[in-house]
Order: sequence, then C-alpha cells, then structure tokens
Amino acid sequence: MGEVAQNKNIELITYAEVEDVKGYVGNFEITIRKKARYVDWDKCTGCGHCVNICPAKVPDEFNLGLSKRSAIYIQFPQAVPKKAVIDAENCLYFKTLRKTGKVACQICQKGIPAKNIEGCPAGAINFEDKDELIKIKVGAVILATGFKVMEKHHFKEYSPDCPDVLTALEFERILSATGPTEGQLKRLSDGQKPKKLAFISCVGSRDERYHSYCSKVCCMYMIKHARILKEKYPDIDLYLFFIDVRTPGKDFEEFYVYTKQLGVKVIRGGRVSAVDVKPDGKLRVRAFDNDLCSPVEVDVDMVVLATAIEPGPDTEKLSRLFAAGCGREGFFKEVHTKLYPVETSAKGVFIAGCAQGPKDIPESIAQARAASSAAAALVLPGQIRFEAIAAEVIREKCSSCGVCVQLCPYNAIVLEPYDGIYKAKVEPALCAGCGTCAAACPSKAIIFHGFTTEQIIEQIKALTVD
Amino acid sequence: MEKEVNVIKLDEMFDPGFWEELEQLGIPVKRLRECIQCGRCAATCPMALAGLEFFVKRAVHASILGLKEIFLEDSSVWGCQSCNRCVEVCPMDIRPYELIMAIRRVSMREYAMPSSTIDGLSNYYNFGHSVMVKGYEERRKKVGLPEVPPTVLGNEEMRKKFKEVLKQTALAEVAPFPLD
Repeated sequence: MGEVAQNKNIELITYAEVEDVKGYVGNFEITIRKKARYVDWDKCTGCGHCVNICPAKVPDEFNLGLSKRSAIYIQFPQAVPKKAVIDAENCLYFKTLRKTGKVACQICQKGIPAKNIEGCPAGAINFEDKDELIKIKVGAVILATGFKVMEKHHFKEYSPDCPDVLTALEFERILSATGPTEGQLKRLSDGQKPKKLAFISCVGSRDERYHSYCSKVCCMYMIKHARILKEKYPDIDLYLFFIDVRTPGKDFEEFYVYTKQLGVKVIRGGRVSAVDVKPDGKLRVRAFDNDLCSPVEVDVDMVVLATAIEPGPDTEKLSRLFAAGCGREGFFKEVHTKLYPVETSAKGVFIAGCAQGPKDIPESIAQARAASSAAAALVLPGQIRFEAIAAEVIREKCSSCGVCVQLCPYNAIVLEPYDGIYKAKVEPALCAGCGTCAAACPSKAIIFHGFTTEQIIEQIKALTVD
Repeated sequence: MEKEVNVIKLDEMFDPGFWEELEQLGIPVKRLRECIQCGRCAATCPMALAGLEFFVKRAVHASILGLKEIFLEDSSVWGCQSCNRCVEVCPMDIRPYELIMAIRRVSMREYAMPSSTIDGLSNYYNFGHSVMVKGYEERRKKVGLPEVPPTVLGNEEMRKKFKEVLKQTALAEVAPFPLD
C-alpha cells in the first residue's frame, strides 16, 4: 500500500464512497463523496497525539470491538495514508453540538491548558469540514471492495455469548502485537493463558442455511494459527475440527503435514455439533471423529470459529451503480468463470479479489494484476471495438412508450428529444446485444442487427429447404 | 473403565506418556503424525477385512491422539497377521505394522492382551512353537513324519538354550507368566 501511495500515477482517494456513476466504457463519470474528516490531511503528520488525548472512547472496529479507540483515530498503525479522522457520531464536540447547539471539548484542537497538554501540534483539526462531492472521468473501473467475515452470533449452538468463543479474525487480532491483548495469548473472560484450544472449520460455509460455498481460505489459516501457537507454545494442546482438510496446491499440503508433525490433533469428519460453557468456565466441544468412527468430546479453554467469508455490505449497491451484476451468493459475477474471470457484464468494469468470491492472498494479487492489465488493454489504445450485434431504434416508428428503457438490463436505452418528441435511443457502447428490447417493443421500432426478422425468416427458409 | 455413553473423551483419555513409550519402542511419533488418513492401509489390511474395530488406519489415528486406553480395552491389534502389506502401500512411509507391534508391547506391560496370546507365548517359550495342536504326534505319524518335529521341541538341550535366548529379549520384561 505504501508503494501505491508513493506512485505519482496513482491518486488515492480514501474515506470516500461512490455516489453515482454515469457514462459507459471509456467515458465513465463517477461522483465520489469524500467524507468529512474534520482533519486537514495536508497538515496532519499522523503523529497520533490527538488519538492519545481524546477523551471519547468507542469500540474499535479494526479490533472487531475487542478494544476501544478514540473518537479521533487512525484506523490502524499501518494505515495508508496514516492520517487521523474524527468520527462525528461519537466525538464529544459534535455530540454536544447536536444536542445543545453549544461547542464543547475540542481537546484535540486546543489541548488541556490547565494540565499543560497541547492540542494538535500541526493545527490540522478543522471542525468545519464538510462532505465533498468530486467528479472524476475514467475509462475503466476495477471493483475490489473485499469481503466481510460472518459474525459468531448466528451460531447459537457454539455459545457465541461466551467471550472465549472467538471468530478466527478476532483470534487473529488477539495474536497481533497491535491487537487488544498486545499479542498476549489469553482468555478474554479471565485473562488466563489457555492450555487447550479447539478450532472449528466450515462455520457458516458449506451450509445451505448460510452459505453453500466453501470459503476456501479457512483450512489454511486454521493450520497457520495452529502452527504459530505450537511453535510458540510447544506444550499447548490444539484440536482442529475439519469436515475434511482442503489444502490444495503447491506447498499447502506440505504446510499441513509439517503442522501435524508439531503435534496438532486433527479431527476430520467433525463439524462440531455443540460448544457448551461448563460451570468452571471450560468449553465442552462435541463432535464426531470419522477416523475413530466415534463421537468425541473435549474440554477446552478457548474455541476459535472459522466463520464464512461473505460479500461486503455494499457489494449489491455497487453492483447496481455499475450495472456489474451479482451472483446468487452476493459476490460480483464474472462474465465467464474460465474465459473472462475479471470481466463483468458491464463493459469497462472489472473485478478482483474477494469481492468476486472467497480467495487467498496470492490469488487476489494474481486477479488484481489480471484486472488491471485488462483495464489498461481496454483503455490505452484510445478506441474500442464492439460486436456488430446491437440494437438500434428506428425513431420514426418509436411511439415513446418507454417499455424498452425499463427492460434493458444494461441501462443502455434512454429517451431523448428527437424532432421535439422524446424517443428511445440505444447507446451502442452499452448495448450487450441481448435482444430483450427488440422482442418487447410493441411498435416493432427496434431492430436487432444481425437478427432482423427478414434475416431470421431467410435462415429458416434455407434450413427447411427440401 | 466402564463407558457410560459411547463417546471418546479426547482430553481425559489423552496420555502423553503413550507417545514416550512408542518413542522408546522405536516409533518416531513425529513420523506417525504425517499420516493423512488416506486409508490405503485399511483397504489392504486383513484385520479390516475380518471386521476388527481398530485396524491399522484407526490405530495410527488413535496413537496420534495419544489414546492409549483404546488399545487396552480393544484387542484389535492382536489380530494383526504381520503381512506387512500396510508398510508396502503406505504413501507417507508411516509403517503401520511397526506401530501395531509397538502397541502390542505397550499393552503387554499393562497385561492387556487376549488369553490366547498368553497360551501362545508360554507355548513358544516352553516348546518353541506358539501353536501346539493336541495329538500332533498321531497326525504326524499318519502322514509318515517322525512323531516329534526336528525343532527345539524334540531337542531337550536346544530347548534350554532357546529359553536362555528368549530370556535375553523383551519377553523377560513383559512375559505374563514366570520364566523358569
């Protein structure tokens, strides 16, 4: 990310959302809402002084609510760009302003003079900041909006209310030096170091009630967690419950076998049926071991759930804005799984990463490079070839009913003035040649090049000749 | 231990000492853990075909989990025919047969073996044959063989020497009967 920020050909617009999309391949006009940061990023040095003195504390999203952050915050230590923003929802200045109309706090700006604490040394705080709408013109778009992981509260059978039952992402934060326990492995309930841990795979994946697909990366990161723990704490007892172990590809199976050698206990055929909290605080895990051919039970100190990878919350909204299309599971849909893996049904809109479906880091990078190459190959020549199969409106016949406008799945048809009357017009760059409009037009005003009525009748005649 | 319900308690039954015993008996537990439970051994094992419960594949898995008690309660490992097919076919070089033999020794120390094993062993120690079919002399005569076979059985002096040799082996440590 640092490299991206440094590259003079890349403009990074963070803390922003796409508001509106107009145009078509080669000529997109995108409206972006740059959210108010209340900090002048030209001045902010990312020193973190404001973060330390801010009195308002709220759950930290980056640590999945396991720790607190200030209302003025830098999302995480490696954030790019490393700049502070004020969360107006929770900032005491804005809270008081909304409630009473008076100004309060402003500690980040002015400091606490009584205690000799100074405010922002760069003078970057700006409470007057407003959301800003900017428009950019681009030739192609790559959607790489990532994913989210399922939360544990869906799974009542796994005692999600117990603080010692964690999702794998929460556990990852616990292992992280910048996480809620500063890298110390301990139970969140009593601060004790766990001696026995159970990892449960396929929580929400491969499950018709939640997600029918395999989340693909869970087996590997469970094994990774096990390896990290076992190498750091050789005496720890780890139970890994898999339906089956999916470690496909180069080096992955070797990684699995190496981790097993360390003494990690792998239970297959074992989607855990229940995790119960015992009166002594231990967690009883019940499963079936295919290899022992027997039901098994184990009492552990901590349970880690490998919850499913889900489409990000705004994936559907974005797919509508860009007419890119989502699949059944809510991920962006590629045109063809094998032949067009980074293209969407909207020309000039490409996809990469987990927004397209669960995948690991190497695959995401490979796909991102494929998408950027595809986008560059499309834009750089300066001109574009289209399939001749496209619809065209014979305006003299058009009755201006607008049926086609509603039906077109690619938003390619608009009504525009023609001889003083609004008539339909097909934008050839957007038309994908599906034929829906031509079939639906009550006035037969839309011809579909390559498939006109005359052409089809001639074809039938040729085929039915004796 | 009487099981109340049919469930294996992985933590209560886990005995890390079992791994140490296996190590001492020449089974590297680290190598054992490489087992990916592919089941190729089980597909060729006569124990599995005969319907014994803890055939090779499951014996390996239970050993990796450190569940010694299973083998003290279940006599499957004693059904091994020593055909060595599992060693031949194993893709991960686990050598399940060697594990089975080691588990037998561990069980012997706890006196957990079928009574037929004790008979066989004491026959072997006393007469040089583990299987002694009643009235063998008659049958041998019928087919024109000498009544007593030309083994230690028919040679008092060699039998004594044979016993001395056996006393130098692990049998001295685990024999479930007095070695005179």
